[in-house]
Amino acid sequence: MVILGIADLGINVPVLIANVVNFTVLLIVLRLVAWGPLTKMLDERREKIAQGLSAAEQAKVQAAESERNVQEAVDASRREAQQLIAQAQEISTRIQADARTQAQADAEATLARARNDIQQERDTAIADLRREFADLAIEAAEKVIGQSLDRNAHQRLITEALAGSSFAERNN
Amino acid sequence: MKNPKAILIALGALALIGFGFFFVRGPKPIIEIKGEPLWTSSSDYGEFLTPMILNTQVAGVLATLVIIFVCWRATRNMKLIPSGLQNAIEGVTEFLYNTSIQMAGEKNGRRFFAVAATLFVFIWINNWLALTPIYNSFGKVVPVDSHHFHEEAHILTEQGGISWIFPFKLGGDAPLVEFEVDMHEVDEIDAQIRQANLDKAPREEVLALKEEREEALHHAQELAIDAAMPGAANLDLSEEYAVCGEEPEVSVTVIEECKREINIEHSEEARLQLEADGKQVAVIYPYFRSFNTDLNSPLSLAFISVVFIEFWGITALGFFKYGSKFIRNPITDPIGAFVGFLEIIAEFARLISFTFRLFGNMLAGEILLLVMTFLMPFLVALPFYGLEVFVGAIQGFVFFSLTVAFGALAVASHDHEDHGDEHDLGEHDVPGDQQTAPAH
Repeated sequence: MVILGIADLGINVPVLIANVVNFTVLLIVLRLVAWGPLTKMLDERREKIAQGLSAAEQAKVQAAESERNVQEAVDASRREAQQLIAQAQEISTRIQADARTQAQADAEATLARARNDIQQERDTAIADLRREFADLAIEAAEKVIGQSLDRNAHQRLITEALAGSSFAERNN
Repeated sequence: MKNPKAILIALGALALIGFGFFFVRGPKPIIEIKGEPLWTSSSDYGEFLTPMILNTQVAGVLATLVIIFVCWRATRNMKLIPSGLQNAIEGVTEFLYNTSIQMAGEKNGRRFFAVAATLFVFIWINNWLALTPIYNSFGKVVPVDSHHFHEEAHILTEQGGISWIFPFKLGGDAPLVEFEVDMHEVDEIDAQIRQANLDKAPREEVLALKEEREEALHHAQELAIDAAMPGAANLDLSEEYAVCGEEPEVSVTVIEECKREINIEHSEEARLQLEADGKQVAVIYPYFRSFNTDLNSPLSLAFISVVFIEFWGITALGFFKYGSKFIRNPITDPIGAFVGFLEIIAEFARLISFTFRLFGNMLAGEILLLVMTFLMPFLVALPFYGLEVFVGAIQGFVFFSLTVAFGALAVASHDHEDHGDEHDLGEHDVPGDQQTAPAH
């Protein structure tokens, strides 16, 4: 009776078996044609993508590193350049200062020499003048006294006389 | 008149609906729950065992071929960077694959995937193919007589070697003949058979009664066909009927008998008239009918699903360990034995719920579409069509996910149940999705 009831719903054993067989065939064929290759492909692609991602990550790290290197090199060269410039400036200022001191020194030397020359000229002139003056004085004195004095004693007298004067003090 | 275009469109839509309603309505649908046999074996082993080919099976084979062809085309020339068809197929596959792994874990998900995904694809493609116009629209013409009795039938008109149902009838419904069988006599014999069974009457007597019942049914169906022949009902038979009641002492039964004979006589005329017009009272068994609208199909799919679930359980846990889920020693472990009994019932309930969920959804959908195209063929039927597109895919996915979830339940170890935790059907062992409660 139960079986008759099921038959009323349209259930039929050969149809059931045929459906099961049909599905089984589909399952086997799809396993071969679809699920096998597709899951393989999905896994493959997943792996590829993971690889690609890690490679990209690596590349990123490398790029960052090389950028840092380049930056460092640039920084270093800039520093060097600045150093060079500073050095050059220093050198130039030094040269300028040297030149200036040299010039000053030269000028001073020339001046000193000139002054020296002038001093010497004056000294010579003074010495000449003093000698002439002494001679004149002696001559004058000989004329006055009328007698010739011992020359050496004479000279001593004059020097003593001159030492007393301010003129001699200033020139010795 | 803010937007004349919108008003025009609305008017056009209304005109289309009206035109469809008055002129192009489909034939009044004859709802058949069983799949219609296109071929039946000549050897009769009873309704249950007679080999036959149903139109749903033809549709199933069609879907199988379509799926195989598409998959073959898509994977014939696979590339690592997919495009076109391969892309589409891969999208579906990846979605199912990931869902399966998410629900059952990496190892089991891979194991369940092929069967569950095939179930999904088969159900899905079948449901969507059923929305194409080749389904339910043409088929085998089966004339209604007492050998092929149906309670409703169409009047077919033959033209150009093809029998058509002409629905194009101004304001009228497409013709549908209804046969009302007088089951009075048959019921009486049924009561006698029941009585004989109760009395434990000899087998021959019961068989004789059953034969009698068949004959009575046959006769009643013949009478119904004769009485309802189109055209016969329109005849004015009052004069003829008057003849029946002329003699005052005639009983009511005799009058009824007399009237029936007059009816039959006239319906014979009507039948001849129909045949002369090239018309035929028949039903159509469509060549293609949605695979899942016949109970055999979801049942076979559910059967496959349950067999695979048990198979996974047995191979994962071992035959005896898996069996101990169902059968325990009632003396040492009475609660466990009872739970095992419930598990067995749950297993069968699973089979039935699988079957009727799919069957009910798809049959209801088909009937809905038939009725909507009958009532309002244009535009109004469209949303329901969209709904069916949705339901067709969803039902496949439900079947898929339940198979995976039940599979995950079956392979889950039930060791902790031995420590008195019987209420928990191993849900702790199922990773991922919580769709593990048996659905009913």
